[in-house]
Amino acid sequence: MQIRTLGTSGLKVSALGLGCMGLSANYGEPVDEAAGIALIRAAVDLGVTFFDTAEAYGPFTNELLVGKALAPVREQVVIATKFAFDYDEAGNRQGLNSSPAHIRQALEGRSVGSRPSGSMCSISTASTPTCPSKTSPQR
Amino acid sequence: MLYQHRVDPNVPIEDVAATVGELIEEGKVAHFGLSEVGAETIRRAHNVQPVAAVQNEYSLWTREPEAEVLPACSELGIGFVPWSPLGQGFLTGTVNETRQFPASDVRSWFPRFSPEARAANQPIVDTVREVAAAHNATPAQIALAWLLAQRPWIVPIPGTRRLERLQENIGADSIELTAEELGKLEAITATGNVQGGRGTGRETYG
Repeated sequence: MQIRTLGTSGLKVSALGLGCMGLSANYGEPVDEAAGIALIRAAVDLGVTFFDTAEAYGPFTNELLVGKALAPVREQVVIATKFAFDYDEAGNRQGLNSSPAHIRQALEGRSVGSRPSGSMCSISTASTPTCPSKTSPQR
Repeated sequence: MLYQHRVDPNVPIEDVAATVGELIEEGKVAHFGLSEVGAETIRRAHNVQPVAAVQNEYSLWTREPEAEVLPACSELGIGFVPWSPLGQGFLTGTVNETRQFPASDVRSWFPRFSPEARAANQPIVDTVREVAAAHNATPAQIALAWLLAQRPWIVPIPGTRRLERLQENIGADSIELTAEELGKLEAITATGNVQGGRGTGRETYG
């Protein structure tokens, strides 16, 4: 596949990326983990190097899935994730929150035990999440 | 790359950009992105921390980015990542008027997927099919090839659960549309020709 550069950032990615949201959210029940991992790894084999996820997809579960699937090739791909929302202890979306402290929390994860981390730094090692499924749109 | 998914009206975008800038300095993030933003927000953020990519909805039936956002990205040297490049599946030609969606699928309530909107928007799919036939390609491949033809720094992110769809989507990379074909596709999807609000029907740029 051809490679494109995102503006003048120098970030080079495959001309087509893979949007991973639908594996976990918004288009019916989530796929099982093995199927999701297989699809993401097939994309890597086909030359895809750009993978899109977000804390909001699941929530949390899609980041975990993407992190687990790409852990073996982490240095060869670009993972894009997103912050924006607050969640309560049960994983229900609250309002928007882009305060500096919350951005850090979304990236670095919460204290162990409260709920799965949304962290890009830890998604490749996180265990299976236990968040409730959601029916409201998570885009 | 770390995107702000939606703009928070209570936090100045400059503060968001500065925070992601700190995370970049700390080596925790490589690039900063924004999603569902207008040109003014892009400019303000980019002033504080260079934005690598903007991710807004963009496809043949959602062409809002063309007015101000793509010109701003071009001027500032920012990449663009279209979400829902296949129009939540509509542009693949597999969503006819009778297809049902479960409650867990947002298309069960998105306004563009009402039976009336599907019928009204069918001419878009018909045109995409015509172009596809000339390339021995699928409608999805044409929808993606159209996006790739808009700017060299556009990177669509189609989603799928199926290997054969993944292979199909990637096949769009080798399709070159003619100027006549691009014109035909653009004429049928000009603003105002699409029925129903995009996404939830309440989408606005932050």
